[in-house]
Amino acid sequence: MEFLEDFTEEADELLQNINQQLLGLSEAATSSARQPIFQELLRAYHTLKGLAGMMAVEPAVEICHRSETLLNAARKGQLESDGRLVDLLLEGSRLLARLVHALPERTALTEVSTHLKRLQGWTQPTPEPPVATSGGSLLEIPELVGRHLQSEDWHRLEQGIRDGMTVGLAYFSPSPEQAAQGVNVNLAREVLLATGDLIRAVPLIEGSSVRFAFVMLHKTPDPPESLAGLEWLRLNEQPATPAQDPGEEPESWADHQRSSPISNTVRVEVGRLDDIMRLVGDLVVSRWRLQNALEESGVNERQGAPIRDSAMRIERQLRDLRQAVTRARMVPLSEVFGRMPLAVRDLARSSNCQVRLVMEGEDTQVDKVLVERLLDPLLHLVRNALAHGLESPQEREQAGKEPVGRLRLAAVPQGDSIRIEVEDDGRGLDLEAIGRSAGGRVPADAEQALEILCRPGFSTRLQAAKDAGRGVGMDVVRKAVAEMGGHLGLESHPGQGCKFWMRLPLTLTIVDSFLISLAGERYAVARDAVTEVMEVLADQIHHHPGGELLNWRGGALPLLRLRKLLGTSGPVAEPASPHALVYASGEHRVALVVDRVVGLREVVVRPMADPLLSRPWLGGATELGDGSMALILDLGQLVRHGVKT
Amino acid sequence: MSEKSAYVVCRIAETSYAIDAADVQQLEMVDTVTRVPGSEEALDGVVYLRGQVVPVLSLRRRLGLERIAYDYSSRLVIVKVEQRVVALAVDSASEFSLFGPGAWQPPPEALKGLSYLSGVITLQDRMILVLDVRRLLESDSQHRGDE
Amino acid sequence: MTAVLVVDDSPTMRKMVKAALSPLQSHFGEAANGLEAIEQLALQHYDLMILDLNMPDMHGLEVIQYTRAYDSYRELPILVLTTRSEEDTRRTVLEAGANRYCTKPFQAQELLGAARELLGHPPV
Repeated sequence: MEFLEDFTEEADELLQNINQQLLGLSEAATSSARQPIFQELLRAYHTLKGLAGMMAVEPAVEICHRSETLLNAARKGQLESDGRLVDLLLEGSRLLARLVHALPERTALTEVSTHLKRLQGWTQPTPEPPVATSGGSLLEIPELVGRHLQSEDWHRLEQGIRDGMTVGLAYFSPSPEQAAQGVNVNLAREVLLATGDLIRAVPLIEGSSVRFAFVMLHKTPDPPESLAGLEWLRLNEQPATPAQDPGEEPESWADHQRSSPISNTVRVEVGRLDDIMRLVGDLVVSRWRLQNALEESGVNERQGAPIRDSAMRIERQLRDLRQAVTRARMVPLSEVFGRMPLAVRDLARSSNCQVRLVMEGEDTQVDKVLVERLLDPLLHLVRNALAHGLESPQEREQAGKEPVGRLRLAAVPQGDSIRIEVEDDGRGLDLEAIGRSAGGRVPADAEQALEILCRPGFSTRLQAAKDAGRGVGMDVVRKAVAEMGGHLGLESHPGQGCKFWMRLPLTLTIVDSFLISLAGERYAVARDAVTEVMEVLADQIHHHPGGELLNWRGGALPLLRLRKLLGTSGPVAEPASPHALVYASGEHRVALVVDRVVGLREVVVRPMADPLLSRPWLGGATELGDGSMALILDLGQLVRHGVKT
Repeated sequence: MSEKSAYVVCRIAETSYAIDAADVQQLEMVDTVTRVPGSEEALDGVVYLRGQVVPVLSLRRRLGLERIAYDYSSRLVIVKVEQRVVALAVDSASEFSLFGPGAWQPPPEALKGLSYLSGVITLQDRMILVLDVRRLLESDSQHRGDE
Repeated sequence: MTAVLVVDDSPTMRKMVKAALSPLQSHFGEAANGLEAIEQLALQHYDLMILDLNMPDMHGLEVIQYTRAYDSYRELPILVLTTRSEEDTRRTVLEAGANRYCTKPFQAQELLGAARELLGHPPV
């Protein structure tokens, strides 16, 4: 949260000003005295709205927006600017203050929606309508009972009344005598359920005794029969017609209908989409179980054909469903790119450089989760570029460059991934300086330099970092990129500039993977880099002092054994003719021997976030259909580094 | 909360340990723990809980004891500490208990060397060692030689 | 003689709890849902309630809150039983006034010991 303090400070100032102005408003006697106050207020709300928008505090943005609307109407004389309006806005200001200070936790405040409704529905000053209680004369519920009802109960009651049903309240008081005859609360409940819908059963406890109140919706207007031992009251007026005259609808219900514009969008919490995604993932797993069961069932070709067809159809439909949910989670990158101009402006000022910011591809849609996780690493890279990459205007002129530097942020879709670039036209990397501050050799190229820059220790050596030109926070950036399942890269041209790039997968969750078994355990390996799967016979392997080689297509491949790489021995012996995966990275190929390749399936990737589990060769874990888990291996890392921690 | 403090009491070998209930997210029986190759001593593996992959730390190992096989009384005490969710494997775990305000005492001299002890609770018939979960989890990252 | 109210929607579970607690030689009352439990509490005096959390219609939490609303039961020892202990539920349960919390499957000895403590019996 980079600018939290600045935001809070400025927001507090604005709110203080707003409060003062509002008080002034209530004292102002004439319309002309009020005008400058309105201007001041509108300016303040507008600024606050913009800031809140930058910090993504949507409720505050909404409140400011609607308050502005009200103030404008008041300014034009369409509304009474009286004490009630001022009170309403003062209350809003208090709410805004809480929202601003609750920012780190982003606590949801239920009062916000209440307040927003009141701002919306404020046309004439009216006595305060209770939002979630009975509406006017249509329904009266004793407070003792009413206070136990939840908002969904009220909605059901509203709906029931609109449909012309009767709201009834039944009381049952238990006693030992009745209990002895089998008349207890269960029976009372059953009897009532036969006469209508039970909205809620409320125990009313007084001292040491209890009376149960049952709030009911009945279809018939007459008192339900067979209510021996139960007291029953009708709570609502018998309606003449089921339909309500819109003009007489109590305000709390009208609010819902009238004022909210019908829009084409639905706000969905990302959490709900996550749930759906999880369900889709579970469906994927279930489909595999189905497939497995089918294969093991020994059903013959002809009988099995329709089942197989259905399974395939389900697979296609699941793919479509997965895509649809993924699309629903997509938001444009501008949500995070949009915060850069402000950051750049501040950072440029403090690092004494002039910069022109160029952004490309902000309309690219990415998963919402990506957008959230990108903010920090992008800010780090931007800060680095401005603090270390770009020279001061004087230096630039001396080097024959334009005094104003150029910072380019670009998003380039590449099939299943997206490539995000942060490019500056500054000094470029000083490889020697980097090598020096790392206390070792000069890195041969940008990739090696990047390795050094991303070492955890490097970032703490600020002085060295200044000399070397980069460094603060690079390990954080790499970690963040890795957690997004992506890759961080670097290109540098001394004297001309530097380009950091990230390649990030667009869809994070489901990956086509080979399922392998090794020493009794199962692992998953992404299908991407595997070019071939084969069985290995003993006579195809050649032993050399440097390692093993595998005969392959007239040539030879270096052979690695996963058992060795992982250091597992396990209870299960290595098979005589194990399977191998051919892993390709750029031009290099390696044959990786496992015990068996068990299958190919879509695997739902569950991240392993805890530090205890952080290993470069582990890409997460997944649940297999049968309830067990398989670790997901990053072949690239394993092949290059093994499992050393 | 009232002045009473709530703890989850668990047993390892013959000793009872208490963990602040505020740190405990849930208790689970041990189902399948997936082993992680190349692990250091105390990491038993991982389990999958509520959509999350959670590391399983053997409290036995952390306390310097030998591992034993899981059985029906073994439990995973799922603790949540500053965004981290970790499962502690214990021999058995009993219910949440409320102890009165006077029950907690700082550790006696003899036990001062155990860095993960935050105190003791003395009852009529036994002494319960109160664990500092943050220390338990922290020192493990340090063991790994991380940042 | 002490009276123990066993609240659980599963008849088998109620049976097992009663069996585990039989050494107490108490009178046992039973309730299969929240409303019944609240009713039972009014019809007769109880010294201890064993309460399952996950019941249909009325959650165990609500039952605790209603129970504490009775003058006579503000201090009633309540031992809550459930298959899992979820974070929010657990904290709320203790704050709502439960005294102890046991997970299912429970060990008979454990339950008995806890019940004894809550009833103020001398330790065995």
